[in-house]
Amino acid sequence: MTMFFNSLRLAMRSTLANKMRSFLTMLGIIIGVMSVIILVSIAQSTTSSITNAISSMGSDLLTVSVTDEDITLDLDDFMTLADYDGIAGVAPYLTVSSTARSGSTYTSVSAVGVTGDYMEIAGSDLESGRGIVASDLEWRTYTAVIGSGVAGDLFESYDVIGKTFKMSGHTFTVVGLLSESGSSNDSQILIPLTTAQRIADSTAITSAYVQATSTNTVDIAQAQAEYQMLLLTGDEDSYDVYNMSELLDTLDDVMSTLSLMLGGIAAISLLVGGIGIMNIMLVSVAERTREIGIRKAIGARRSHIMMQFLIEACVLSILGGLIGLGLSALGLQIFGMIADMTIAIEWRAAIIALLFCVVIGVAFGSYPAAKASKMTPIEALQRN
Amino acid sequence: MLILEHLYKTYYVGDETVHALDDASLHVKPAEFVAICGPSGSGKTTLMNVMGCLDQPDSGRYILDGVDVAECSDNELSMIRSEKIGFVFQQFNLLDSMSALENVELPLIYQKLSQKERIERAKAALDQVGLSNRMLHRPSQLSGGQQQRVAIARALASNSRVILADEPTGNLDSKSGNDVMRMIQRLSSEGYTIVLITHNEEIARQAQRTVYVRDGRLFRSLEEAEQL
Repeated sequence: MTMFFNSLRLAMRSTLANKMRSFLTMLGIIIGVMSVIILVSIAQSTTSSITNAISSMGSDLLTVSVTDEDITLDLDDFMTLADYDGIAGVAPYLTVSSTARSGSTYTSVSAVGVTGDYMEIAGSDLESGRGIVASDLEWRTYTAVIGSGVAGDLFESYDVIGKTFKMSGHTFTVVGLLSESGSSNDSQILIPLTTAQRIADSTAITSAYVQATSTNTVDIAQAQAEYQMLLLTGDEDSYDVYNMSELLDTLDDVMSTLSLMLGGIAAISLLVGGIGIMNIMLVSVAERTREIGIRKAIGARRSHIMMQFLIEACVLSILGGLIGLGLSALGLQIFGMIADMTIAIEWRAAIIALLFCVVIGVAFGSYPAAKASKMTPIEALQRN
Repeated sequence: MLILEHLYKTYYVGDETVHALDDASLHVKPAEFVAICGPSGSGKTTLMNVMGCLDQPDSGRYILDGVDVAECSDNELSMIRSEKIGFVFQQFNLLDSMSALENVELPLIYQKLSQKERIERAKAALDQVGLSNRMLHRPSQLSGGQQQRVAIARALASNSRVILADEPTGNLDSKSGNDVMRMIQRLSSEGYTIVLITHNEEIARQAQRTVYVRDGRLFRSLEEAEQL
């Protein structure tokens, strides 16, 4: 053990003695570790923010949409879906793209015409005020529930209840504010479905959220929804029924393949860094031939010399790995500030990258170390 | 204590055959001070390498402290070098990146002593060669004579009873050379076994006994050697 600490002290000293060379050697490792950690962390953070947005809508949710423009279904047609025992609720909606104006502030929005059940089914929460209710639909009122992004854009304030804005030639009164979700829902305006139909000048509705009675019955609900849509349209190519959890699984698959690929590419640069270490260690062995000779002459064993050079290679690679870890934490902070999101370090990737560094140190250090330890003392002493 | 019997060692340099050791036999008694004298290329360095367990002869027996060196493994040879033999080289062979104290400590690291004990012994050894006020100097900050004294301290610290000195004064001016020789004389009187290798008659004369080397062969007197 004393031997180990002596070798470690020696390795630290020799690393510090050649600062520039050590740094250049470690650079390959630093860049490799940084790219592994940063790329994987960004991929993971992006994935989780997307999956969060989707799963907040509920994994018991189906999306039904009509894809054939010649088929027009109205509200009552969609509501027939609710008659099935696997389906707990139906929320047809109609999206109208428009521009909202308040005073001299304009912002483009997607106004979604909804029924009273929409918010509960789609998983949107109110921050303040009230939602769209049945009487709004009945009277085709010009009331709106707006997302926090829209509130900021139009009114620069969250105190929006009772304020008005203009959209598609009508004056809407804000009755509710949605909680901030961090997703695209923040730039939504919910209005009564009947009002949206009037703006669109059509009673045709193309999509609806369908909620299954539970997450376990999503498959049954999907079969029932598909059956009913076939009845309604008479053509199985004219509609789609999406399952949210299926979508989530696909997305997860794609993203984990992506981060694996990114990690793999970054791992190659780590490998290149390891070769750099081997290169420098070979130079170091050649440079210190006389030192090896002296050490052997005064009693160093083969294993002592081997350990000395092996530890030195490991110190280089681990130090490089730690510097890379520090820099990637810094890099992620900066990236997070620029992209306006919090990106957590993916610790699994960090630990794997650091373990990889140890392996690289041992693997690429062992050849030079073995070469050094095999020198005979006179051969090593005679070279100056 | 050191018994060399019929040692042979041959090098092949291109087409030429060099007999570095040719039926060399030598007995060195404990506490004896023997000089091995010969011109360059006579084989005296090979002899010292064999005696120091840095090199193995082609044939013949070398018994050090009752141990047949030919039968030792690599690790056992390292142990012998560490515990039984102290080297003093012409080139000093100190490590430039380390202080005098650390250089003297080095063989003790390989003897697996605790740090406290190492420093104690290294300090005592440096004190013995009169360098206790230069312990933290690097070799490059010391004169040649001082460096050679550090090397002697390194040999002493390991508690070896045999000191092999290869042209210890070869790189020194005459004054420092005399200092070093006086120190070797003193060690001899303290009971160390000393084998001194030199090409210099005058220095060889300071030993209790001189052996002459010519073409790998050992002679008891200069006359015998000259007859060759």
